[in-house]
Amino acid sequence: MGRPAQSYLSMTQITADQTKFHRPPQQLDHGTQALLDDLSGEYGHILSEEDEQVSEITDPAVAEEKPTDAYLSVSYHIIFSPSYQVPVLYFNAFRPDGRAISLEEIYESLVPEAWRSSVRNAGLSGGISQQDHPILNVPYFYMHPCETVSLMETILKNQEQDRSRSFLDSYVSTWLSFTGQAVGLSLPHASQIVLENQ
Amino acid sequence: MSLPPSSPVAKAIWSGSIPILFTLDDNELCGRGVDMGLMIEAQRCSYLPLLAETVRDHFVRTGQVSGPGEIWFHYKGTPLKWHYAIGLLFDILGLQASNNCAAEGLLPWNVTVNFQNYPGDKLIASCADSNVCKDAFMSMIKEADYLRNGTTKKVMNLSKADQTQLWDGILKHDYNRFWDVNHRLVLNDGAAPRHLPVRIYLPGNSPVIQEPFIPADEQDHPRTLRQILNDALPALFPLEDDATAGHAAGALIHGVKPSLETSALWAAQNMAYADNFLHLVIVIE
Repeated sequence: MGRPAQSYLSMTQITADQTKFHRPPQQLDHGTQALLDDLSGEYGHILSEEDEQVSEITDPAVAEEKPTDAYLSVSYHIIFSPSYQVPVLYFNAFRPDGRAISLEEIYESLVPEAWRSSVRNAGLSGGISQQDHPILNVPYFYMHPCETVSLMETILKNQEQDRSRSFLDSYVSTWLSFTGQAVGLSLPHASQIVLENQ
Repeated sequence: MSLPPSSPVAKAIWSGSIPILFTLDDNELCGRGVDMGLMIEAQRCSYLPLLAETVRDHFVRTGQVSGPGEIWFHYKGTPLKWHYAIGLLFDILGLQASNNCAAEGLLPWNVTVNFQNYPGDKLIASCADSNVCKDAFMSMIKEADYLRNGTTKKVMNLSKADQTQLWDGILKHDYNRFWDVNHRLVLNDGAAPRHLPVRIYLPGNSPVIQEPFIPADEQDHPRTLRQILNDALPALFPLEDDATAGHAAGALIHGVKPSLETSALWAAQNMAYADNFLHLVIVIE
């Protein structure tokens, strides 16, 4: 039909299933943390239209140590919203047997406890809900973009202008570290994400 | 309370309906139940979750279903996205899918009802919850407002009573109640919108096309449906009508194909669905 191919930035993260253990979110062990560090280095590039890159972290050592039903595989996709003109974070979480988890379980497992009530009370109906993934056309959880617009305006206004980085650079890393944290995405070096291929 | 503007087109669209025959999925029929479907004249501008209770009651009363279960609907195996308006679902799965722009032969629309095995990988949770349906609806209203004005202030500043009245108008299918609030959004209190809220549906479960469309050109003339469709799909909708092309593409909305020379702004103001979007379903002859 002549439509240009659309792409999105995708990342999968293994995280502890808090609904199993009812404990506060744990620090990831060194092995998994190192894998995430490598991945955040790789995701320093914003993809051009033609690319789609999907990576998955699987550390067999980690999987063997703990019971397999204690982990969730979380997929994060970053897609640009044409209506709101901001990036939007879509995500889904699955148990090892492939079963998806519910909204309540998302709050328990991915949203840091300190953030839970602000995320739940954001906007008209809470900061996280389900929507058709704009490209895959299946249900994904997402963070409401209307909150992003005003939030980013506030954060960037107050941020020290770092002259060594472009505005776009600061915007994406700030947005990603904030939004990502709200839903359990660990990118320890997010502040060092460098944009290429703009 | 000012009277809503009386647009005969908007009124006709609001009154549009489709007869639907709801039948229980063969796999779920209880032994002793009578295989009896339920016929409902469904409003094109309404939503399946608002019919869920009536449908469930029927199947429970007639002994075809016992016990709880999450209701969901499908047509020829395709689960029906309950956050899409009923009219939109029929335009896509009935008219577009059969490549037949006339509804004869497709009506009553045979929709299958299920109470087991909710397909969470294909359908947003959950079809029977009218609050979730309301949230999805308000989300579209906000997005339309954002497209028109670059902010959602207008919607967010609606009084609680007005927001309630908007949804109440849908629940009760009351044109006056709904449009009394809606006209302020759709007509944007007279201010020219920055962009038009439009969604375009290609055949075959393609990703939905949604782009910010500009309502007027540099000379401030209103752009036509052809021009905005050309923005999104230049190969299917060339600006010059090419008689030699062989395939004519058209856009269905509410089961009709408006002329492509229609002003897009006028269409957005008079032919939008209740959620304020122009949902254009592409058909190719």
